[in-house]
Amino acid sequence: MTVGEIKVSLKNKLAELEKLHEKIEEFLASKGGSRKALFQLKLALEEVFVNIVHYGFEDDKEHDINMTLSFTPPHITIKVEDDGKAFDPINAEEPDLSKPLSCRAPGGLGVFLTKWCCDLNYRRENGKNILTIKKTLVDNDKESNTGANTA
Amino acid sequence: MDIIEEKSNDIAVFKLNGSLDSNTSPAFEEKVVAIIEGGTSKIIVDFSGLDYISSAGLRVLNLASVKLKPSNGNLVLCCLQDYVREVFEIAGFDQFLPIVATMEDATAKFN
Repeated sequence: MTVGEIKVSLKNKLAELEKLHEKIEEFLASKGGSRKALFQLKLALEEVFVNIVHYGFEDDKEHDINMTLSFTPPHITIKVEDDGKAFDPINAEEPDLSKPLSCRAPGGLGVFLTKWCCDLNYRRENGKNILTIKKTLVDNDKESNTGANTA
Repeated sequence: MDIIEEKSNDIAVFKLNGSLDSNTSPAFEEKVVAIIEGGTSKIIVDFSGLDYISSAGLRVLNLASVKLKPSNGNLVLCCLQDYVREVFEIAGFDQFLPIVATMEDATAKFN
């Protein structure tokens, strides 16, 4: 049973990131997630949102990025919809993490980190990207500070 | 986001407070790049007051590492929260950057 759901509508502007972080913090405050779970959900949402803002649109028009955050214990699910270019993060190229840092081209870790900390599901429907981000709040999550969701 | 910049002897120390995200990282990048281009090759970043970092923040540390290479400079990170440190490990940064527990340990890396 879903015990909580909120909708967040953002414009495709980086300045909206602060609002996004505030909304997820508010939403998770009453759900019993750890600081680590909150951190990882903020991270996933930022990476997804910023990617859409940076690469999703070729025009200069304003677009809506709509998110639905829901809690069906013990799962937090966030549906992100945008009408930008088709982009399936699940099949995005993996970065080469064995390369010395001083020889790496900076950037390109956003999708990788999102996939690491959350489960993703992607579909393209009616000209829209629909990405579902899911994270399970486990019992020991309340105090635990080690180990990722997928580790 | 709050960035405190100090210099002790020839070591530059950046103390970060708050969130290093896509909106706040450019200010940190500007300061780090300026100090490296000014000739500093020893940098410590103190994460004790940092409770959030995204790939935008990792990008700045990657860039600093690239820019320190010609001078054989070093970047040392200290005082990370466990869940922040985990992101550095997952991204493979810990293989190439010293990540230590305390400011004393960080300073010792340059002795």
